[in-house]
Amino acid sequence: MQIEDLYSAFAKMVFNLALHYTQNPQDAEEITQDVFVKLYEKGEQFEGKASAKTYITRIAINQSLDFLRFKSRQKRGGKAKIRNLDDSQHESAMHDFDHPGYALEQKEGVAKVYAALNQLPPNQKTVIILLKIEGHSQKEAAEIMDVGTKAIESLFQRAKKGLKKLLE
Amino acid sequence: MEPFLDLLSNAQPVDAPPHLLMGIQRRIAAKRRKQRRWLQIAAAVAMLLWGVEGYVLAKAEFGTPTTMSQVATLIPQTSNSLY
Repeated sequence: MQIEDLYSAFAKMVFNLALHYTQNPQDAEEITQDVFVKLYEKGEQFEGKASAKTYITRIAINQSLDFLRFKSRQKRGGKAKIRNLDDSQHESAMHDFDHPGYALEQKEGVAKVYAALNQLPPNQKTVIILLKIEGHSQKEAAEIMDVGTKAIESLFQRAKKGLKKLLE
Repeated sequence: MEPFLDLLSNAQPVDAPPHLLMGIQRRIAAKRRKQRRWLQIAAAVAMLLWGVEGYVLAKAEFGTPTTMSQVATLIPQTSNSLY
């Protein structure tokens, strides 16, 4: 498959996935470009669209997480701690939030949830994105994350609990 | 389901901006150019090493100073000696 064919088949999926991680179109564009350049470098041949989709989703997730890690290192020079969100953090989350996939009237509420989601460990955040935002089944999520379905269920429960605590 | 998860699941898919493909193609073209440049450098280094090998062999055969024609007569022998 040529890079143009891969792009026309998967660019929207990669861009949206990156958007869910970054909540910012400029960052999502950068990640999308990185993903397709990486695909070109790897030069993988795909047997079917399904295997390509899983593989590209995995690359997009890793690229998004690397991007966020790099950005948070640049911003804070340290690792983030999980804590409850206070009002000023809600305000700052609202200010940084620029996800074009949500209706304007939902944005305030969604920004708060994303601010909490961004505080979760990467694998818990990924599970929420795959299951609840992207609408994948547990089996698909398990395949993408290369773990068993039980691990997905347990990660999801922990993520849900974590989110609930952060949003209280 | 928790209401906050309901809220998250309302995301509408967004189209990737059309200029992204051009950006990707530009970056791939730049990478190809870089690869080609490295190949040219590698070829130049190989040529240089080949010349040095010829010079060293000629020096061993004829002693210094050597002429280019002496080096040239030895280079085919160098490659033949590999077989």
